[in-house]
Amino acid sequence: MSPASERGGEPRAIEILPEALADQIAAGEVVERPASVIKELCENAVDAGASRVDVEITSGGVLAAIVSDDGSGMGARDLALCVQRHATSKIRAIDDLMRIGTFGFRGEALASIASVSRTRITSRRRDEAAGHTILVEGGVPGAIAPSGAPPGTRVEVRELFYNVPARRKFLKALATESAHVSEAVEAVALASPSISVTLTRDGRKVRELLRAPSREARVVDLLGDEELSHARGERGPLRVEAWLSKPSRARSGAGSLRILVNDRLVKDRALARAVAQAYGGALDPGRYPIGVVYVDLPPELVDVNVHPQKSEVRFAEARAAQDALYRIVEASLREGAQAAPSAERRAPYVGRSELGARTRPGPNEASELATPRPPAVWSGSGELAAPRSALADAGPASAELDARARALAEKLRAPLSPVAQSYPVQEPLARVELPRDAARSFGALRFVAELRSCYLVAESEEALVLLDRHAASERALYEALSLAHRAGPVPMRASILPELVELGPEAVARIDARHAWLLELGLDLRPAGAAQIAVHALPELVAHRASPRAIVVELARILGSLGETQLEAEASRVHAELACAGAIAEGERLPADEARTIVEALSGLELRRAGPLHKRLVLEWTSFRELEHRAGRR
Amino acid sequence: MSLPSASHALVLALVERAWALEGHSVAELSRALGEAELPAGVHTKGKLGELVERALGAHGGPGATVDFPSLGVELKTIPVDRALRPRESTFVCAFRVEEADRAEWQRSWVREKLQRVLFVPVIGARAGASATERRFGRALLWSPTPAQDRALAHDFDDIVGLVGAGRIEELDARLGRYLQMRPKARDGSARTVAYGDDGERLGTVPRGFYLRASFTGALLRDPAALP
Repeated sequence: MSPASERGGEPRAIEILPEALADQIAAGEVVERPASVIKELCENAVDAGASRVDVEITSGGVLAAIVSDDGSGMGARDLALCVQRHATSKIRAIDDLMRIGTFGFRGEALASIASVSRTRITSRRRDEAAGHTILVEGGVPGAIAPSGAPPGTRVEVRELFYNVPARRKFLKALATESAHVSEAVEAVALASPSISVTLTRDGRKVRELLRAPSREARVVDLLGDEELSHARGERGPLRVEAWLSKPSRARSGAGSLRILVNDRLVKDRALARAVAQAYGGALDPGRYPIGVVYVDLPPELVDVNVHPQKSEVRFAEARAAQDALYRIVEASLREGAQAAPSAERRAPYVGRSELGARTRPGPNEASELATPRPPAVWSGSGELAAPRSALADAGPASAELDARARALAEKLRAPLSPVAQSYPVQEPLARVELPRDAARSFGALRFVAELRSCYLVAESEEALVLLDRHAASERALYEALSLAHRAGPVPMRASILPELVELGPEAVARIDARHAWLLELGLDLRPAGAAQIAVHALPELVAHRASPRAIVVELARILGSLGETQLEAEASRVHAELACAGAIAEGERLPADEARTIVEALSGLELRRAGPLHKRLVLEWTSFRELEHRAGRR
Repeated sequence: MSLPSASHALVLALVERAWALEGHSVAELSRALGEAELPAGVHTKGKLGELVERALGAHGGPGATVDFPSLGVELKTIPVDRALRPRESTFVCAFRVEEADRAEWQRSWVREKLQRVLFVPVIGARAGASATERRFGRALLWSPTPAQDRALAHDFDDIVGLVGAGRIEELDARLGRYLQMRPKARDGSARTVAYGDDGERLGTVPRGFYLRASFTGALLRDPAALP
């Protein structure tokens, strides 16, 4: 055999892979997605004798997957070893492998995970006063440092696959990854009913399963809505306990039938088929009940070392195991059917789309609404009312109807606002461009008076102008911000105590990524943790009125809709938002000199009737020439 | 969604126009639009929606875009009882279940549709009320508050995550606090493709997103509601 050569190139010498690379390749087998991380970490927690496991994920577990337990914890030495491949406390000799009583044993999970993420492990043994922490980045361990910590272990896996972009590409949507994490957590909960398990997703607790006294209690916690029948039995060394739904609730595919062999969730088509076959003719081919099946047998009769993720197992006698499962479930179902032939059947869940005709709402669905749902919504065919003739609808009071209809037509045609004034009404509204001539400059403007804390009266050389006070203030700020931005750094006012604004982690990351650009706009915003932004400074021009929270939330929204290349063009949108946030509010007291500044700032500008964001700016104007004409002076 | 600033004024104008409908009956609107007779099927929500769209000048299609594309406004006619309680959930848009494993809330079509919704309530005393009995209520322009957006995102993730993970068969209308996914098809025989947990192809009914009646009802009373 010759060393591998690149096609057509020089032969390459065989080399031992660097350890880090070998770890990353191995990680591909164990760590497929965030859910695999959670599975491995939870199993470690269970193996460590935890009575409580808390799982926390951010962005589907890609940004952060954190598992904390109150198990036995690790000392400094174990902490250093646990991130190395083939470091395990669970087996010592090959014979142990034949009697695996723990979830993990290969000693590769932590090392694999740590090689493709930034992983921090903090742990404290129960008998020690303080804990230790270690940070491993891309498989490179840092120094062990003492750390305050509760007894147990907390593993934080951040930025999964940050150093293996190719794998990252294979991840699905965050929602899908989240759902896989939920499945993994449910599997742990089913396997270990005596452990409390919580799952927190993006700061929201989505699952809390308190420790249950039995498997049955845990199954009911998880599948509580389902009407389940219990099957139980033994054949030889194999014990089976199962909770299974009625055949009418069966689904396509075995996804809702969870099978645990020695408390390990496995995907085993043959076992699933054995369960389905036990239903006899009640299930169509390819359909499986919802439920949970526990298969227990001595560890030496089943090989769990078949698959790196251990989701497959091999039985010493596979046929016998399937046969035993079939017989036990079949007998229990038969007995159950005889014992309670007329057991009242609960109404089926609605919207559960089973194939066939059962797509119409059942009785439960209707009760959610004030009145029964008309079938029209489901069929899209529109059956809200029985057909009636149009003439019957016009009714006897036709003359009155005509009058009211004319009034309505008038309203629909009437100018709705100054902006809409020149619309040809027959044209659909949205197709009409804003009238060009709506914008005009009045030249130099002088402040005359303020009315009702809402309006500003101004005069120019030629006209009397009535302005909306908020819109005017907004426009003046907008112009000032744009000017300051063009002229150089926008003067900022720093906050002594930065306000913290809660946002989604993605929004925080987006704002963080544009820190420099935002600084140019007069905004000093920095992340404070994964889901908060600290507002360190705002533009001087708006700082005294604007709510930092409103600005940051709006900004996150704008940034969310932008591509990298649009930034330059979109500075004006940020200016507009800032101006709106910093403008004087309705009813607020406006010092006369500020009113004067606002009006003068509008001098010479093209004033549309609309402000940069909303609100009508110029409410009325009349030329002095016109006034003189009306007064009969000309 | 990016809105050119001039659009804001147009949106306000649109809202004012929708307000003009308040208190008028469906029959009056039909007459005002120059119909000599009520169009056939105006009793149904779809036809009623079309009538309102004509009155307000909407021209977006049902699927490809919002009703007022240049304003980013989606129009929803919403049948309510006299207490302004919606009689049914509100259809938002169809969802391609086969793409669930790549669907993100931030870029989703359902989020786009819900960025700005003009709800036009139609008050009908009962399901079979005639067009003269059914009157328009006061229209409401609604955009989700950040908290509402987050809540809708959670629902989306719960629902779409389940579908993306190959567990569409576990989906039911009870999932989702405000947003739900339900069959949306012409009839029970329509089929589309979804994928099971092993990636196997499953035939399933086409689905769509709906806003729960309890949510839209609360919105009509308080646009920032999180019931």
